Amino acid sequence: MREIAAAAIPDEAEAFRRFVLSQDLPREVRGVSVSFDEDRSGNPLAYIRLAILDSADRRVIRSRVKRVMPAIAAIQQEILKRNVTRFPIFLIRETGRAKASRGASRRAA
Amino acid sequence: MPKRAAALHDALLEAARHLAIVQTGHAAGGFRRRAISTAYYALFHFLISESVRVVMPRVEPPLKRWIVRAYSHSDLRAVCQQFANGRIENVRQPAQGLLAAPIAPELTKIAIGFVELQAMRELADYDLSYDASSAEADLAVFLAEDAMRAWKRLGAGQNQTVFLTALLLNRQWARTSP
Repeated sequence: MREIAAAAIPDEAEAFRRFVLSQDLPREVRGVSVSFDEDRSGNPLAYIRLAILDSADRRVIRSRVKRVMPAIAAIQQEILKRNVTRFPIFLIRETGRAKASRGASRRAA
Repeated sequence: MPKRAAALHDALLEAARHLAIVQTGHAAGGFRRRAISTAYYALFHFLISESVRVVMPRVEPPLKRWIVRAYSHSDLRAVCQQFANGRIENVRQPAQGLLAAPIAPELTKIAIGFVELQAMRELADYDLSYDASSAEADLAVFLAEDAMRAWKRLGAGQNQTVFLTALLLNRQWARTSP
């Protein structure tokens, strides 16, 4: 990732994670983690897992998660504009209703 | 008059929507995996259908059936990866020289959606440890719908024609270009 490399951050995964966090994330996103892998052809991938706030009502979850999707597409486009070497793939996990503040739960992710 | 069947990509997208809705039961994970895979195939067949329509508009169905088989998952992925960050210099020749700047954001959105969906489909179809969430099933359907909507917004144009031609000729162009 050209820009982040320039900032001399040694951990590429952490750099990816920070970049995602610096974007305009919807409030439903409670945490971000990044891991690297390759597809079957050896193309490098970055799996970006987003933790999404859960609720007791499954119907509410689906509508909340659906609100996040356009933002995910926009973030992915921003990542790719920076000429990254790993293609970002977003995976989503629902989490339990968090009591901590949004900032605290993101820091913990 | 008999009702005309929906295009394959439309039928697959509709099927993916139905599969993604299943939330509970011991087979819910299987439905979610199939939703992801089916959403990918909806976009795969949509792009092939557009490519044949634009590149070979006069082809009759019997021949079209065999032309469609010439498109490959790996070629579509390779082309979409070249278009994904919107930079013409990332696109291989001869397509690069045929493109007009800039590459429209809608075209990059389609390319990104395809690569993302193919990676999700690889997980859904082959990774035994992958536990597909309902959100990922919804995301897959969204990406396919969003890419198709973006394509319809784009309309016709030189870059779209080059993109659709590259989907078919990527491997041949790679052999002949410098």
